[in-house]
Amino acid sequence: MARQQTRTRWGQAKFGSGRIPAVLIAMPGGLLLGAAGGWLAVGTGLAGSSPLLGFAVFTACLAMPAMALMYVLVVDRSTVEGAVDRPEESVEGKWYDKAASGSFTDLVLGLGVLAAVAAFVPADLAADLKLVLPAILAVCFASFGIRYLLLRLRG
Amino acid sequence: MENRVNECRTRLGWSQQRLADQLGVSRQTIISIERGRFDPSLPLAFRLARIFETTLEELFLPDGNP
Repeated sequence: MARQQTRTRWGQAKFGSGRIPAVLIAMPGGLLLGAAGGWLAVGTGLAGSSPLLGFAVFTACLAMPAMALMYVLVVDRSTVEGAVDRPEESVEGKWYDKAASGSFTDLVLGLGVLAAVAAFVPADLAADLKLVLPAILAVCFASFGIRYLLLRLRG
Repeated sequence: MENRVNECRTRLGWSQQRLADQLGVSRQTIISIERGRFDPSLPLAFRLARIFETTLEELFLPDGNP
């Protein structure tokens, strides 16, 4: 007989032979990853003239996304309250697929047009990759988010 | 594709949430199927037919063929 699965709001993660709340792994793990990023920033001189402040800023900025990443990696979704057993057969899965393929098309079109325009820009006008890459990522997020919301609104 | 999911579910006296739980999908999936805006996958359609003790042909109707 299958063991009754306990479902909680934030789910659980496998830990040894048992289970513990996923956030108990994700939060300290994310904080450690963020601190590692802060330490790397100080070590490479990115933190500026105040290493302590630079360490704190980098750690604070990296900790939240690192916690989210750790949570996604460790959580057993079958223990999350309200999570459906077959997400791939749910309509949300179809919306996700359509939004993802649409945003990929947007990305290819956008980058294609930008590449063509860039060919006519003088060579000395260089773009900073540290700005361009996050901007592309933001456009991808926006494209996906808007498409998904529209599909959801249409039902 | 038209379907008789709403009719069959109502006959059983089930809520959309109960049917969704039985099928392992979200309630929004049931809403979208009943509105004819989402065609379920073949395994999901078979599970629906099994729950309603009917056949796929009786549950799902191609557009324009009542």
